[in-house]
Amino acid sequence: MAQLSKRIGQPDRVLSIEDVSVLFGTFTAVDSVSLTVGNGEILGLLGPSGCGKSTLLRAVAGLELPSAGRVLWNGADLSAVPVHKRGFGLMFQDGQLFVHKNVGENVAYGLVSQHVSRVERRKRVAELLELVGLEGQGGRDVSTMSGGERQRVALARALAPRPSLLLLDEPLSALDRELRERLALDVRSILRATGTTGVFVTHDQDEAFTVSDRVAVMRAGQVVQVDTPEKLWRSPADAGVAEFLGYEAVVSTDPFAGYAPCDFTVVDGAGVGAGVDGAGVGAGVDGAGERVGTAGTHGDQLTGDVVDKLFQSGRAVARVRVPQVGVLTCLVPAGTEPQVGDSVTLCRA
Amino acid sequence: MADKTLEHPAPSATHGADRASATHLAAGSSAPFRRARAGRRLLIWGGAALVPIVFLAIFFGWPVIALVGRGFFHEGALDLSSFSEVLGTPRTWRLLGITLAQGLVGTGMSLALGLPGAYVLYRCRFRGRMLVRGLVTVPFVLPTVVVGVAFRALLTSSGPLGFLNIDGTFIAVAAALVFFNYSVVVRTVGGMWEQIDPRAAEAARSLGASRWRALWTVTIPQLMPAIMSAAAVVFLFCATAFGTVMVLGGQGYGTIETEIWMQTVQFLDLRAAAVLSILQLVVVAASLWLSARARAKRERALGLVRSESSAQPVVLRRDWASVLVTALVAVVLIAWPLGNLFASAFRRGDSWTLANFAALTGKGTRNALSVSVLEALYNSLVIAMYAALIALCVGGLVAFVVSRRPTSRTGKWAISGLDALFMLPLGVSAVTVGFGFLITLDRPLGLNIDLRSSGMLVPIAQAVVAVPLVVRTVLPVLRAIDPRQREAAATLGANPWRVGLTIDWPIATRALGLALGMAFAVSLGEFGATSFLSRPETATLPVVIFRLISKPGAENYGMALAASVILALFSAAIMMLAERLRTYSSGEF
Repeated sequence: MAQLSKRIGQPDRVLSIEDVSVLFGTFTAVDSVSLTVGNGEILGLLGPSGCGKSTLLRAVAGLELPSAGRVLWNGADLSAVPVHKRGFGLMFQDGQLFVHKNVGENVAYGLVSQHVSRVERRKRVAELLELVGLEGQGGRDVSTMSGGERQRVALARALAPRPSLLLLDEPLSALDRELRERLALDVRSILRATGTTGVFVTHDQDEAFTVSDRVAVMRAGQVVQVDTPEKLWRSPADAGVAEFLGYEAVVSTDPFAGYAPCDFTVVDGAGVGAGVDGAGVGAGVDGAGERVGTAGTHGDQLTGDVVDKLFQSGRAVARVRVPQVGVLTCLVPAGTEPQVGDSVTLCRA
Repeated sequence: MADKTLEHPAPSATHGADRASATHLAAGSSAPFRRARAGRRLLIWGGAALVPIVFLAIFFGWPVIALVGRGFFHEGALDLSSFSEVLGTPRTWRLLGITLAQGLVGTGMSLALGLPGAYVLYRCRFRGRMLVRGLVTVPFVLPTVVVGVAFRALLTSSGPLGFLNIDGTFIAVAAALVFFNYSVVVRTVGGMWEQIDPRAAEAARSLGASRWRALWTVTIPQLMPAIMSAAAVVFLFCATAFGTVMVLGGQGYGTIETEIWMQTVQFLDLRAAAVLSILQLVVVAASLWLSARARAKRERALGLVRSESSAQPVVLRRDWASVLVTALVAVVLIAWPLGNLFASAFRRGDSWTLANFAALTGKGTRNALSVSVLEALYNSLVIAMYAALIALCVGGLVAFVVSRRPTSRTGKWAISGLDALFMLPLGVSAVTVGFGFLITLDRPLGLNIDLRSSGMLVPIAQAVVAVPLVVRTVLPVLRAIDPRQREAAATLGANPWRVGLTIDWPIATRALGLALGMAFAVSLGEFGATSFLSRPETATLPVVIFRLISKPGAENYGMALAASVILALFSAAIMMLAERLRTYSSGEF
C-alpha cells in the first residue's frame, strides 16, 4: 500500500502499443500487437522462444522500427523518437555490461548522458548499488563478477537514469534456478520500490507470474491472452495457452476446463490405507467444481493406471493414465504406495 | 526536428510530466520518420565513408585505370596492337607460367608446413612456446628485400649452402617465399585454431571417430575459413612478390611483376608494361574471386572459446610428426637464414669486423649511391611515419564505417562493397600502384602541381599499400563488439556520438595502435611502389639495399648485409612494440 500511495502523486506513465507489426524481410516477427501497460504496472510478456516477444520489446525501446502500428507514451507517438531520447531502460539477458568500465562507471553511464553532476552521480551510484545488494562494490572490475552479480549491476545501470519505463529482456534466463527465483523476487520488489513501470519478457511462466501484475501470452507474433497471473492460470484462453502453461489435459475449451499437474491426489488403490482414503476424498470434494465443469468421468473423481512413479520438488508423484483424458501427474500422499500397473482412484486435491 | 521532441529527462521527480507535454508534439505514422532517419544515417555514414573513398579514387583508382587505359588506347584511339605484341611473345607466357608456379608452389609449401606449425604453436602448450612463436613471426615483419638478401647470403657461392648451386633459381625464390609466408599461415590458422571450442572434436571422438577422422571431419572444416583466407593471401604474396624476386632471382629469372618493372625502367616500354599490369590484374582478380567463393560456402558461426582453455600439453607420442616438422622449419628454414645474415654482416673475407657497419655512413664503392645509408634510414623513418598516419586515418575510417551492421539490403550491400573496395590494393601489386602513380600524378586532377617532385608521393603510395592492413587489423576488433553493447548505451541515453566515443573508441584504440605500428613497419620495408617513385636523393633503405646488392664489389655486398640487419632490427622492434598492444587487448576481450 505504501508503494501504491507513493505512485499516486506522479503523473501517468502509460505505454500503449497499437497494432504494432515488425517484419524481418518476409517473416512477420510481431503481428499487429496491441497492449497497454498502466502506471507503475509490471507486464509480463510470456511465450516460447521465437514468438516475437523480444522483438516487440525492442520495438518499444526503439531498437527495431515497426513496419506498421505505433508505440505511444502517455498518448504521444514515439515513432520519431530515437532510442537514446525515449528515456526507457533496457536490461539484456546477458547484461551487456561494458567490460572496459568498472561497476560504478557502468552504473553511472546513463547519468552522464543526463549531465548529472559528479557529486550527484556518485550518490546515485552508491544508492543503486545498495538497492541491488552490491554496496561499496563500485570499484570492482565487472569481469570478476558472477552471473548473478552482473545482472544486479545491469539492473542498477538500467535504473540509474530513473527510466519511466524499464524493459527487461529475459534478464534472469542465463542464471541458475535457485538464483533466478531469488532474483525474480528482488526484481519485483525493486521495481515496486522505485515505482517503475516495467515490461518483463520471459519464457518461464513461474518467473512471469512471480514478477508481473499482468501477463500477456504471445504465440507466433500475436498476443493470445492478457490477464492477471491468477486468471491466466485458472482460465487459459485456449488449449495452446493451457499447454504452454503446463496443463496436461484439456477437457473442454468453452468454458475452459483442464487438469494441471498435481490437481489430483491418488486416494485409492493397492497399498492405500483406509484413513488416508477418507481424508483424500474429503479434500477433493471441498476444492471441487470450479475448474472442472463436465468431463467424461465421475466429476471430481477419476480412475486410471499408474504408469510411473517419480519424486519431484520434494514430493512423491505418480503418472497415471486416465482413459479419454491422458497421462496426469498426481500427488501421492505419504503412506500410500501405488505400484506401476495398479489401478487407482484420483481425487481433486 | 524529429529527435528534438523528447529531451533528456532531468533526474527529478517531475521528469515524467516534462516528457508528457513534450511528446504531444510528435504524431503521425512511422513511415516518414523511417525515411528521415534513413536519410540522416546516410548523411553521417556516407560522409565518413567519403574521405577514404576520395583518397582511394585519386591515389588508387585513377592511376590503375589510367594504366589499364594505356594498354587499350593509343593516341586517343582504341588500339589493341600492344596486346597482340606482348601476348604474342613466348617470353610473356613463360613469365606467366613462372608467376603461377611460384604462387602455387609457395602457397602449397606454406600450407603444408604451416598447418602442423599452427597446431603445435597455438593448440599445444610447452615451455618456450612464446619464444618459438616469436621466432616464426620474425620473417613476416622482415622487409622483402631483407628476406632476399638473407637467402642470397645463404645460397651465394661463398655462403654455407653455396655448394647446392641454386642461387638465382626457382627453388631459391620459392624457399624464400615459404620462409616469408610460413608465419602468415601459422598466425592466421593458429589464431583461429586456438579459439575453436575443442569440445566439438571431443564430441566426434566420443562418437567413435579416430583422431584423424575428427581432424578431417570436424576441426579442418571449422578451420577452413582461416585456411582459405591464408591461402589466398599467401598466393597473392607469392605471385606478386617483387623485392625478394628482384634480389634473389638470377639472370633470366622473372615474373610478371618484375617484368613490369623491367619494361618501365629498363626498356621504357610503358605500353608493354601496361599490358603486363592488366595481365597481373586478371591473375589477381581470378584468385581473389576463387578464394571469396570458397570462403562464402564455408563461413559459418563457430563456437569460439577463450584461447587459454583450448591449449593442451604437447604429447610427443601423439604429436611427434607435427613437432618434428615445426622444429625443422624453425631451425633450418627460419633461424638459419636469419642467423647467417647476422653473422655475415659482421664478416668481411675471413675475419670478423665492424667494417660493414662503419661503411654505412658512406655511399658505397664507386659511389653506388646518391645518399649515405644512414641518410636513407632517416628518409625511410620519416616517409614511413607519414605513410602510417595517412593509412591509419583512411583505414580507420573505413573500418569504422564497415563495422556497422545496417538492416536494409542497400545498406548491407554498400557495406560489403566498401569492404571489398578497400581490399583491392592488397590484390593489386605495389609495382602496379607505383607505375600508375608515375603516369598520372604529374598533373593530379588537371592541377598544375607535379606531385612526383613534392616528396609526398612515396608516403601516399606506401599508405595505399598499408590501408588494407589497417582495415583488417581494426575491423575484426570493432566487429567483435556486440551490437547490443551499443544498444545498451543508447537505451541509457547516449547519442550516437557518445556511443562511438564510449563503446567503440576505448576498444578500438589498442587495435589502432597495433595498426599504426604495423603500417609503419610495412611502409618502412615497402619496396615495390617505392622503387618506382623515390628519387635518388630521397631513396629509402630498401631501395638502397637493392642498389648495393645489385652492384659488384665485396664492400657493397657487405654494406647491403649490414643495412639489411639494421632494417630488420628496426622493423622487428616496431612490430614487437605494436604486438604488445595486440596481446594486451586480446587478453582482455
